Amino acid sequence: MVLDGAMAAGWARTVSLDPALESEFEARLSDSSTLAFRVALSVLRRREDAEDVAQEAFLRAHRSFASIRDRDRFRAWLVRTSFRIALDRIRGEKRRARREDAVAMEARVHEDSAEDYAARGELRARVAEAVAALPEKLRLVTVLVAIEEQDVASVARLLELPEGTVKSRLHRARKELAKRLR
Amino acid sequence: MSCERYRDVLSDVAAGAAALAGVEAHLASCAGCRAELAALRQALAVADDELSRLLLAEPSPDLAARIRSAVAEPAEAEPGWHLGWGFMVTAAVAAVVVATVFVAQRGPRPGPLATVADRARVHETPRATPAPETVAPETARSSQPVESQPRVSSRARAQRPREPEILVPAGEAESLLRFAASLRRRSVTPDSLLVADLSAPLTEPTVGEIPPLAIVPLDPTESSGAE
Repeated sequence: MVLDGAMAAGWARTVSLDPALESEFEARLSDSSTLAFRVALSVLRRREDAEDVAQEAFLRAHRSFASIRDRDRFRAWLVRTSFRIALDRIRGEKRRARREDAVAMEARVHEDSAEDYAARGELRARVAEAVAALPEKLRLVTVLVAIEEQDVASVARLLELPEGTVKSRLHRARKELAKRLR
Repeated sequence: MSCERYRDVLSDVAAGAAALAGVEAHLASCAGCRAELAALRQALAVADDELSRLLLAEPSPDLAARIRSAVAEPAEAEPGWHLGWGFMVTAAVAAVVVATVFVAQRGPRPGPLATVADRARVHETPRATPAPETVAPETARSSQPVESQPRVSSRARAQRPREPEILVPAGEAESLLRFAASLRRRSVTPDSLLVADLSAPLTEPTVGEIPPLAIVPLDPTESSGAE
């Protein structure tokens, strides 16, 4: 009974921050919501889904904001979390699709593909597939370099990695992309 | 065939690596590899162009407001969390039930007789005359050499009820067995044992009045036969 009461009050999910933290969180929200959205979009390729992922990532961030309040740390955390949630979501969709009628899935893929081809052309659809086929680490670097306008130092901060590691991963990713797209 | 050697190198070069002198020389003399390199670079340019579209992607204007509202609103109970607590409570109750059943199946613990026997084992003294009475045939069997006893697995030993042992004053084994049998028949209750005259003055027994004690195993089958 006590437990139910606490849950009814939203105790399990919401965390009240003190005003200073709340103000910082608001600043991070204004500063980084687009980043979370774009990272999610790079995986999901659907705006509505990407926004849902960004929202979920910020909800999680709010719960543990005290430990990630520093701006760089927050953005790094947000990128990783958004990417992870987006990947989980797309994998969940694939699992569900596999459980459902295989024919229906074929129809949906064909529909998406037709839409993609009309909008972006065959080569662009291949690019999206090739990026999606990259290993996760290479994929995230590739996407972030694009989002951060080729600023490797910025990506290194986001991933909390040395710049050399980012450059190395980026090179491997581009080499792999070139091979797949050729 | 020599072009195959450069296939991997060309994708390196297309990805931005500097071409070594040998590769440069090959490219200068091989139109096919130059075309391959150009195609790889073109593919990457398309990839860069496609990826750069992420930069143009903007979320809905109300995304931040949605997030603020989601953060501020008490959310509905998370089913997973609720299930987790429910599961833990159910598991705890199940564990208690299983433990109770397990203990009940093991049967009652050895009674007071066994307790007396345990104490006797600790304070075991050299046997004195007169020799202890043989209460149960088990006594004789247990005194046989180990080699002559039938082999019993450790599991069987663990499952076999423990033979009660008790200190029996010489000459009183028979009456003790009868008493044990009457306990089993429940003809003796704790209340019925309170027949002593508690108002009588206590007298200190002298050492000579207490006969020597001995440890004698008590066989339950024997005791029922003595009824």
